[in-house]
Amino acid sequence: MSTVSNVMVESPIHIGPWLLEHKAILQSHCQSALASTIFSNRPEVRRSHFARIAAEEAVVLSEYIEIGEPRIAVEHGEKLCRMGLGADAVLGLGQAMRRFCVENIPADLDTQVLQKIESYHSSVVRGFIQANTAITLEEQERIRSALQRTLSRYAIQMAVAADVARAATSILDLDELLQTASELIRERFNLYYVAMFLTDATNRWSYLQASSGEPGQVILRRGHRLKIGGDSLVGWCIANGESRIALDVGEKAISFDTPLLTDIHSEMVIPLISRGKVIGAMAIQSRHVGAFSEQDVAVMRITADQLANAIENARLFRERERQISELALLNEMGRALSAALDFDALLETVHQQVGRIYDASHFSIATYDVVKGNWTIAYDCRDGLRLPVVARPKSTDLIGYVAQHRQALLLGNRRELLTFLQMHPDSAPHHSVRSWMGVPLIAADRVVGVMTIASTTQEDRYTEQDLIIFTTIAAQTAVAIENARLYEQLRRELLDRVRAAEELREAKEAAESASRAKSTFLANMSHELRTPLTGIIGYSELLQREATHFGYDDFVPDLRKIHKAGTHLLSIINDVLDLSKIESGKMQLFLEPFSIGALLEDVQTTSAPLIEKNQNSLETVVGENLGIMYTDLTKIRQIILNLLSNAAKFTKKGQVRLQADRVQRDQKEWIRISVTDSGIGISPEQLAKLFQDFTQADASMTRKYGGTGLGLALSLRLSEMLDGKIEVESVLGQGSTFTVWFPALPVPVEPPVPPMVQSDLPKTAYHPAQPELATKQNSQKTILVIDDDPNTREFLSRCLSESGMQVITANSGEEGIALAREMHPAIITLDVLLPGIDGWTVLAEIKGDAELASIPVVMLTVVDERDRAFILGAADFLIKPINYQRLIDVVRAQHSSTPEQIGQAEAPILIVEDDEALSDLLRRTIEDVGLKVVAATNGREALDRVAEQRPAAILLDLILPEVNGIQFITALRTIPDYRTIPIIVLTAGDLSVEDRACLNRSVEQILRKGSFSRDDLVRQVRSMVLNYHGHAPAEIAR
Amino acid sequence: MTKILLVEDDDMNRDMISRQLKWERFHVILACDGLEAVQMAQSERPDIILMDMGLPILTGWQATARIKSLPELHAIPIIALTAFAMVEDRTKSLSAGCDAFETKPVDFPRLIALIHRLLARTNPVMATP
Repeated sequence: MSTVSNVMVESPIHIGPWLLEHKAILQSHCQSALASTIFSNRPEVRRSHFARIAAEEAVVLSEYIEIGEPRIAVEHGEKLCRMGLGADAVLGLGQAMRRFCVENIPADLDTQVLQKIESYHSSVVRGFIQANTAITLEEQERIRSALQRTLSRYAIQMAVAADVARAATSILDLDELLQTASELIRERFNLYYVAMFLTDATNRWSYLQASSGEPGQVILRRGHRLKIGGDSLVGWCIANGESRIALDVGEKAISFDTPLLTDIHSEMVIPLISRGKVIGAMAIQSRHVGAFSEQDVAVMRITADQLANAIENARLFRERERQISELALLNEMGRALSAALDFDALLETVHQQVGRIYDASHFSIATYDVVKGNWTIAYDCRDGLRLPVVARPKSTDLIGYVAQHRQALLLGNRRELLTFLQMHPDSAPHHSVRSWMGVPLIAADRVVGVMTIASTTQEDRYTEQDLIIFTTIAAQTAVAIENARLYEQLRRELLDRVRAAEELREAKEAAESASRAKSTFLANMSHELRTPLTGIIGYSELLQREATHFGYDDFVPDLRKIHKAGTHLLSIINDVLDLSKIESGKMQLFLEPFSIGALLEDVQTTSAPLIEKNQNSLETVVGENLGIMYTDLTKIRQIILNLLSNAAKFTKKGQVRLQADRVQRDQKEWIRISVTDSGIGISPEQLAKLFQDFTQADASMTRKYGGTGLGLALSLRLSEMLDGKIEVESVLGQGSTFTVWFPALPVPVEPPVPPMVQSDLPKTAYHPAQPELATKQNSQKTILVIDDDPNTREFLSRCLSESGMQVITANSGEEGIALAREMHPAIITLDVLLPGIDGWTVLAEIKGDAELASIPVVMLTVVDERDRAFILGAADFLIKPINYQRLIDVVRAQHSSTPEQIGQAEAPILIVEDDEALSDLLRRTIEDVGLKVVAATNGREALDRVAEQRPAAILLDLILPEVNGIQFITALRTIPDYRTIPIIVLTAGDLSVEDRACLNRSVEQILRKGSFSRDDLVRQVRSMVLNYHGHAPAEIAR
Repeated sequence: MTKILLVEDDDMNRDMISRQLKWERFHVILACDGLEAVQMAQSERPDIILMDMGLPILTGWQATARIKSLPELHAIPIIALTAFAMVEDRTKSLSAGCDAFETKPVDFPRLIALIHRLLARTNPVMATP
């Protein structure tokens, strides 16, 4: 009992269930293995029993694995033997199991399962051999006792035969067994010479395997084979399965024509038959003429039968040993290869490993470059000598043949090689090759190479069995080669990327240094020009005063010209600096609310002298409801003045019209300001480069009209900074219209803190809105921002007021708590690092105050302290720097988290889950927060539900019957209308890399079953539903 | 009469600015470098100082800092009047202790208005020259 429980504890991974799951495959493997072997010498145990035996095999194996008791397997082996199964069949079953393993075994189970199956099969073989030996002995004992009664001489012979059999059955090494048997038979039966022949795998030759006495050893060393069905007695005997006796062969033996054995007179050859199959022959020679009687033949036949059984056992054992070592090799190779990423070392490893089981005197691996389409003999080793790597454009030899036919090829001996050569004259292998195998290396269904092995020492060195093993090795090798290739490719790509990044960094540094140089230059230039300009402008002004004062009025016009030229030069310098400031990102915006009407009046007054200069007239057309604008006044003013100055400059005695109105475009509200003139106009070619720096419509214009050509470029950059744009229409000779569009931003309730930069122009005064504006009445929409950083406060105020919220701010925890008590805001955003009491304390205080506890608090921190935030009762959590969209989503989600509000969403949540209990739980959770739910149990149903009514969001299990989750997503996303439906995936297991990649592209969130809380889910669903209705925020912000 | 200390190392601009200021009926005293500016501020106690920044011996920033560190001179408004017209220059001048910042070439109407504003702040009686 204790053994059983121990074994169970030792295998934490349940192989039993895994095996049962794949039982059908194992069974079919076993069945086909049985079908392809010479099954039995008992006709009643034939094909009809295959299925039953195969099924039993699978059952016994799983039972063995579950209980771990070797006795089960041994008994099963004995049973197979007593059923009359041959050794081939038992081996075949072993093969089938191994193949089953190689094909079906999951990576994490391989060692365990292989070991289990190996130990199982060893035990089965042991049982089989035990039973086979026992049967032989029983049989022999039975015959002996029967004969003993009738004939005493015969009985003595039988006793000798029994001794031989007993000795033979105890030896499991085949060579030793045959040699011992030969010597024993020669000695006990007083014979001259005894030899054993065994047939080869091809069944065409019989090879001398054991040979008695000194001369016998000499012959054995030389090697000797006889053709089955040929002239020799042995050949005839094996071909016909019958004994032959030659009672007087004269001076020359029929079987051996050798000077070593001269004294032969009588000869007898007995076939060695095991379970109906001739496996070889025993040749016996005597010095005496007529040495053998019928009775001797009978005794020898019994001896031969027993010997045949022993041979079979030994072979079985040897084959078993070989299988184990092959399997160990394959395992080891798999491990060695999967670790080898260096290509050359990999090929070397393959050769070494193959060399351990095969004569690999010649071994080569040719690789095929799929991209370039050429072959390389990457590895070629002959008799220990590594040949240099050679490329060859086309392979017409054996390698080419194997690659082209994608099939393993065995040319076991010279004859087969020559036959092949006759059919394919191009494909000559090396002349010394005696036995050859070649297999294609196939990875991802593509031939990536060919691996060949050749023996120069022995014919039929490789058999079909070897070809199977070699093919398995090739499969592993192909994968390893492909891995090495991918690794190499990856390494190269990585290097490229590193190099590219390096270059990029250098380029960036160069650009930054150039930009620094440019800034320094501009600053210096500005300074150096300003000093003399100060004199020019100042003196011309001064002289005008003095001239007027002292009555030199004639000088005044000229002095005014000098003054004007100086001012113009100054404006150029200022434009250049402005452009460079925008370029280097140093230009700052100062946002403020102002009246558009007042702005237009101001520019009209300022530009009056410009307009009048060319005898133009200015008409101002102002639309209704222009109202207030919230943007950088100075910059808008600069842009409009620029356009007006251009219009005035290029128009003579004409009309300039300034127009402004509030318009809808692309579902947004804009302030549109346009300047139209009746001037010279701009040609299409000139239009194309109109906004480039230092480009006037025509170089000659500079001479004629003056100006730097920077005005429009600057206006464009400035309007871009304000999220606006400039459009231009013009007809050459008739005039132009420049239109600027600015987004009509709502004015925030709390004014932002002005940044350090001040404009050089006087500002329109305005009075900051006081926090008192937000009263308890509208606290539903009020957000309290607690943050000590003025920039963050400004940012939050702007973001939140844009989405229609009233914002009040506090710059310390104390002030925050006081304001919260006073105002009862709908939501509080809270910074952690505050002067005085910190954010955590504030949070605790708010949550501890019965009146304030229900206000959701969103924590804003620089470090991820999510857990702490939630433990202390925060409703949500954002990490700085704050993502605008995230902030709005989070605030909206909190703001509208009462069931009634969410319930207004018409579209339902679709739950796709085949587990009824879980589906029900999800449904209740979601219905609890007031959302509608529809459910489906598989992908197909889900698609139907979606077609019936577009859901607001989908909760999706991945593993579903019929159409699974991934297929469902793929199908759903092919329909444009449904591409935006948010999906939350619920998964029980770990996702594969591919699945995860696929999902990341198309779903919002992946939740692992059992690792998310109800609240997580509700929060996710809510935020998605809100996004879904995001087009109509008013509904939610109500 | 309001006494203005004009600190300017450029002869031409010193002459030009002082003459402009005289037209506005200010009493102008002159200094040509930063050190002289500090000494003049101590000895003459001007009502307001117009300070160039790129000065020899002591720079305008240093001179401003020195003057503002002296309790008896602390209240005298100092206007930076400089050709260093970049944003950083403005910040630098204000942090050295200047009360206001004007760039060259000088916009005189603006400068005069600024002078009156600053004077009104420190001494309401001086608001009108």
